[in-house]
Amino acid sequence: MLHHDRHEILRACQALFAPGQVAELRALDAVTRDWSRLHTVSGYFDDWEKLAAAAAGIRARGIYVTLNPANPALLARANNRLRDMKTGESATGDGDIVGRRWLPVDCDAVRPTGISATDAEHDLALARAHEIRAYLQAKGWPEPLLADSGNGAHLLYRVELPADDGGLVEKALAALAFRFTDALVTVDQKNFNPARIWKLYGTLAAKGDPTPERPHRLSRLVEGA
Amino acid sequence: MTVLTPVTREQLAALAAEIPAEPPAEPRRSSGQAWRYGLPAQPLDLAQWIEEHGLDVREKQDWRGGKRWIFRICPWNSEHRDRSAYIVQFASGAVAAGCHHNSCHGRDWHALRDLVEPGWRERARSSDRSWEPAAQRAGSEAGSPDRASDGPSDAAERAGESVQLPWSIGIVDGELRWGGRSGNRAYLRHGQLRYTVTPEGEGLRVKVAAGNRGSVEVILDVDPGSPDLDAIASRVAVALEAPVADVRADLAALPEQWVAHPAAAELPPPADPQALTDFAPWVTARLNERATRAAKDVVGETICRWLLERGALVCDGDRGAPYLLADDGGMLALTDNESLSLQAAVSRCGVNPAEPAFDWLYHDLRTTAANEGRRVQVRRFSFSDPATSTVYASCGPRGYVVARPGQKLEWRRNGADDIVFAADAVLPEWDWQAEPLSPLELQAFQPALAAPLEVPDYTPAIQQAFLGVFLAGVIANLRPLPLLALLGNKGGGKSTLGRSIIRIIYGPASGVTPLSDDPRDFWAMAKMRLCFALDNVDAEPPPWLVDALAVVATGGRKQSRKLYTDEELTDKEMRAAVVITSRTAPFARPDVAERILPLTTVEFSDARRRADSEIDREVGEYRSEVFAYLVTAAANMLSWAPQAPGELPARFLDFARLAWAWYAATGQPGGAIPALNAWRAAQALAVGDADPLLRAILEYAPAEGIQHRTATDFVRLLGDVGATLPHLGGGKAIAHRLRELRASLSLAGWELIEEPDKVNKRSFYTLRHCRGDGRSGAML
Repeated sequence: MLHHDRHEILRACQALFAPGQVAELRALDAVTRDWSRLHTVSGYFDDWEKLAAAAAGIRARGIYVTLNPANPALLARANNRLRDMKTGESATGDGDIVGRRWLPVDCDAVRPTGISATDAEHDLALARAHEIRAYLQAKGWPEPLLADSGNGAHLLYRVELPADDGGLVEKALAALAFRFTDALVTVDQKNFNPARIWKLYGTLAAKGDPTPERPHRLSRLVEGA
Repeated sequence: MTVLTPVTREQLAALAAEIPAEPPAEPRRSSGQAWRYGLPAQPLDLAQWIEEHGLDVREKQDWRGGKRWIFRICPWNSEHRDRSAYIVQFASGAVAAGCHHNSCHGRDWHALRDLVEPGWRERARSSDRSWEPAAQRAGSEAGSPDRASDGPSDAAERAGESVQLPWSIGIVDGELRWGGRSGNRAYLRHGQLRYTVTPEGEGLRVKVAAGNRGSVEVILDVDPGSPDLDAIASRVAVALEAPVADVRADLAALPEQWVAHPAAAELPPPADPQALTDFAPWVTARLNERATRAAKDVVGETICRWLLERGALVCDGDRGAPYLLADDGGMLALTDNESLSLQAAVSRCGVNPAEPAFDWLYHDLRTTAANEGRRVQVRRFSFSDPATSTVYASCGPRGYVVARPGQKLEWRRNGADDIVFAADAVLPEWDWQAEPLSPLELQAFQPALAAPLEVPDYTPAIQQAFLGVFLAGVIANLRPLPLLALLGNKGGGKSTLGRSIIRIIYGPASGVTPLSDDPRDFWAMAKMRLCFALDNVDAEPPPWLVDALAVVATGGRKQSRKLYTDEELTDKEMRAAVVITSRTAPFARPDVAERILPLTTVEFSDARRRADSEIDREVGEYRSEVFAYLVTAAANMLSWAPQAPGELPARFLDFARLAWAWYAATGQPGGAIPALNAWRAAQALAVGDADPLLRAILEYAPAEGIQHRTATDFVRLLGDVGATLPHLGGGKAIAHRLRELRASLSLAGWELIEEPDKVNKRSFYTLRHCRGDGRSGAML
């Protein structure tokens, strides 16, 4: 059985986060020793070693982090540790984000919801990400991080924008979706809000049950880190 | 780590600017009569326009409430093939087109029309407002002299013209339909204009309502059974105070909207569906938010009938009546719950499988399958029929392979002969036409085997033969099979062999599994897999493991309480074959030991050692060949097995018969009995043979035991009483080995007690006979 890759997680943290940044680690549909019903687990980290150690030990459908730096005060909610989230406890909101560091582009093959991608679908999404990167490169854009989300492909472009960017990221994603979404692959245009959570690379993408055709895969950074 | 350069605001803004902007609304020329009736401008049917002009676009996508098409090749510059050129129709009906390349700057919708529809501007000018609906045109012409005298009576006169109607009010298949089964009522909406057609006495009543301007009602004396459509059209025209021809033109666009309306519940299903996807437009049309139970029944029944006729809706004949579904993609995808394949089938019908409101479709499929579906045998991975000596092994999701003794392998489509392999239990595809190759020819299946010192008859050749029997038994799903225990110190190829066995079965992505702390992992594998390998089961195994192995080795079942219930029990058959690699066989309790097939390894000489990568590649390369060999061998074994002598020297007769058949099938029937004798003797030694320290204890420990010794003293004492031991390392290493041996020793009737001395950070060990333990000494 596949397991989360702690080294890959650490590598991802170092690529994604600035030193001193606070990031929320959030696992959806998790099961913990204390609570066997599916629930959300969350913690705030500025120590990536601790984040990687915590993430590697989680059993969950998906493990995510906030991409953009959160208000350091949130560290006091769960300081470099994980907690089980109960009803009414809040996760990072858009108002808690202090700035935007990433333009996140997510390519996914079109398939029924809640299941993992086949190898062919996975390859399609990766190919589309390469296409987008080549297109933006031709427009003079810098290199992004290229990552395999387990079921699709991610491109992460560095930006330096305030949390309230006047809809710039939203429009840029909409423009990419307009051009590159088709019947086979969707470019997600909903990842524009600053507190968006994002797949933590090195963790297992475990949508649905694994089958030989639709296996669970390890997400990972492919290029740029 | 590379430092990434941020994207500038300008670059982001330039990208953002690529989203097409909605053009300003076309000027409305809507004055006069038609405006009174609120007739909207009829939007251009862009999809039709694109088709008419043969534009090479990728398929239509929904976009912000409208539609979007991307050109494969830019119509203005054939070098632009990077999805840069587009046409969109906004939700308002407005159209925009363009290409993102700088050289195409300024190209727009009108430029596109100029290019593909030359002369359109002239035509538009001559007919003035071709984009406007005819009635609207008529309305705005109301002030012209020839229309000035037009009144309702004049219109009625025109309405009296006999006209051939290209349109229909809800005409489907040439007859007027009104309402569903209960409603006897139909209506259409088109913009703000509404027609209602209801039966009235012997005729039909047509009510025409226009916006907030009130309505006009007309009673039509037509027979509802065979309505005079011409008359309806005429009277509608009268009500509208517009020329019949114009009304007719306006209404030409109606049927399409009509089809999407609940009243179209009578829309017939597709005439000759070839796949579930062919039902999608029909299902979508019928099942909008107002779908009645009756409408759902029709959809469910139609789809179920169609699947039944194709033999695609099936039911597991062995397990009572679970609902099983086969889709139409040439692949039988079986399921007994709302798993992927069922969802996939439902989504092909045009229904969102995630929407709970569509549970009824699942229900229809399930109950129809259970009640009327073809009864089939649902199988997992592979199975054999001893009566005909036939082995059936799945081969990818689409087919299975049939092996009969002395015949070539045959491929069948999954579902043929009423045999269906469940979608979650098929072996990854292998090339069934490959030339058979014995696995024993591959390096991976030649570990450094050695006969145990105590049983020199259990030769490497015999062990290899039994390995072959085991593999054929696994592939053909012959059960029960013994536990294959690969015993010996490191460096003998144990794990490699375990991994290779799993990779032959499941392909190169699979491998051995470390023993998990959670027994549920074990049970899940035992239930769901054909075979699994536990690597390095050493030291003290968790207490449940021995019991679990006993259940699996005896082909037993496991009962457990269903999650979240108090009383419901589930009863699961544990059929997986198990491979274990270990140094000390601590799991070998007597009832398990007699079902163990031990292979004892020694360390490879450097000359024989091969790289793992090379071995793995070989296994991957010859997987199909080995598969072909094993299913053929299994079929041959089945044909020989009935001739096996009644009394075979083995505790585990099922496997002994197979082994006898293997020897017979490979032309050495005389070899089986000595081999089985040797196996039986080796089983007794399975526990202790591999470890020199264990053997020294068993052979040389004084009868009264050993009292309170440190680890080093413990070993020294064994040496003093005559045991020859290799160098075992320092005190810590010896202590570790002693702990590992504890379980094995208990099988032989010895109890090893460890007393830690925390002050001096060491432990003392005491060896004594177990008291009152019925199994004592059973093994040796």
